[in-house]
Amino acid sequence: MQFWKGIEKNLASGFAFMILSVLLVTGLGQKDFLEKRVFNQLPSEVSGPYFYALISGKENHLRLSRKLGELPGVSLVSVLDKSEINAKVGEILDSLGLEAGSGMFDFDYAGLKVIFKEGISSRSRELIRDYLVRLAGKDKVTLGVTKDNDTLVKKHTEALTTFKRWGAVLTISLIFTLWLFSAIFFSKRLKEMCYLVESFQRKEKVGLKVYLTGVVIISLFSLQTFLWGTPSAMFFMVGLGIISLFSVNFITQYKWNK
Amino acid sequence: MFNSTFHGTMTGHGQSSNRLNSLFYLENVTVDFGSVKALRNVQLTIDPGEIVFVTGASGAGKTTLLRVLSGDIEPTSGQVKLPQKNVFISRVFQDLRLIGRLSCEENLKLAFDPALYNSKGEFLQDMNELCRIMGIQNRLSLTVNEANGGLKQKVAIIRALLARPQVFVADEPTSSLDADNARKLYEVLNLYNVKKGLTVVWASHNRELVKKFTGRIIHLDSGKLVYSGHACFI
Ligand SMILES: Nc1ncnc2c1ncn2[C@@H]1O[C@H](COP(=O)(O)OP(=O)(O)O)[C@@H](O)[C@H]1O
Ligand SMILES: [Mg+2]
Repeated sequence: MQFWKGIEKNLASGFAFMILSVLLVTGLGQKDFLEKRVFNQLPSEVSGPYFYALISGKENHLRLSRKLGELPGVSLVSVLDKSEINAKVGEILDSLGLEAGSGMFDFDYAGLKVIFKEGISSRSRELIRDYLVRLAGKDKVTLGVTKDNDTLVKKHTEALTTFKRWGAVLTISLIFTLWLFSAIFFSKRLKEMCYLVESFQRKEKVGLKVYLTGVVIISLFSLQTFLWGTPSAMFFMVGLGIISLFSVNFITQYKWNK
Repeated sequence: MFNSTFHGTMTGHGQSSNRLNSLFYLENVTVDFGSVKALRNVQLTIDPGEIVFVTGASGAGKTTLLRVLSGDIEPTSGQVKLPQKNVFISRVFQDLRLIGRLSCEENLKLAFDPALYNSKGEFLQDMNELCRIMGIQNRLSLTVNEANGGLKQKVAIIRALLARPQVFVADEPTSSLDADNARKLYEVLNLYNVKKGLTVVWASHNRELVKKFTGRIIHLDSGKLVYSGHACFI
């Protein structure tokens, strides 16, 4: 069959084209899946002014963390694990002007990192800190000073947020660009070969036939998209449409360039 | 110099009076490329089974004539008729038109039309036989990019023959071949002509070369057909 010959003689570019075509159709049809199930699943990072709190182990720090998390000015409360606490203890003691190992903190404790919403007023910050102290009891909690995230962390967080929002579109655009390159490259080779087949065999419109066979095969392979969930019918058709439309390339007579 | 009155009088070969039996019938064909007149009022008949050499200096219009015969371009004025049905023309292009990255053998195999051969084996037998005659059977695995001019030209010639055409149209097929190889080509074509009735149209700027072969000579000068007949009358 001409189709296999067309692919066989252009193995790398032929396969690249077929695979990118299937990826394009799948990517377009599953834009929602990409957005919700891939890019939104990336670990989120929250940036904003933050402080650490050491809480006496006897207190239920999970309850405190939940209560704090419900406050409108707080964007995230994370519970630190033991090793993280040990690293931060020195920092907190420093900020309190105390020396490590003074014996005052030799009991079992839990650590929280409280991150405020970006742009929160300093008055609200104080209210939240006071609330925590009242909730836990004055002598059961030690707060570190509030710090601003450094710009590096901020930029990183912003980039990640943007990437999560636009990742799917970006991925699809990238696939489309690669597909376009491979389509142009592969179709040039295919047209050249089909021109020769038509010149030396009694056959017509070989390029068009080969390409349309390719489109059928691409469509079949694209059905795997249902494994990922029902695709957006419109975008799925747009994908196949783009690929089918490229066949106009094969309608005109090929001119052998010198 | 050629006298245009020769044309039409030297009809010993192929100036068929019966247009319906001819293979090509060109009536008053003119081809312009902008201001350049590549062919001027060419009147020509080619019969099935003829061997025709198209000669003339560079720029005389040989390539243009072959392109008109093959249906590659339409004449600006005049008519080209192919009264016979299902005539397959295969060509040796002046620029050869081989795929550089593929081997010589793969290029030849592009001419394998399963409808024309009983089996692939029959095709390969023909291919090997032609390659042996042309002396290239040991170099078929070279890619075209690695091949020298002579090898490439032979591949293009053999490919055209493997297409089992009724008409073999070759544009300067011996430009990279020496006189011995040119004669080999002529002998192969002559064999196909005798055995299978192959019609040959062979353009060459080297009139001295083709004069040694048997066939009709058509001479072009600045797009005008100035002679048509046996070499012996030139
Ligand atoms: N595609 C073209 N565009 C413009 N001029 C052309 C083209 N093909 C041929 N010519 C001109 O027509 C004339 C005849 O060319 P050609 O048929 O190639 O001659 P030959 O093959 O005998 O050397 C030349 O003057 C050439 O420059
Ligand atoms: Mg020429």
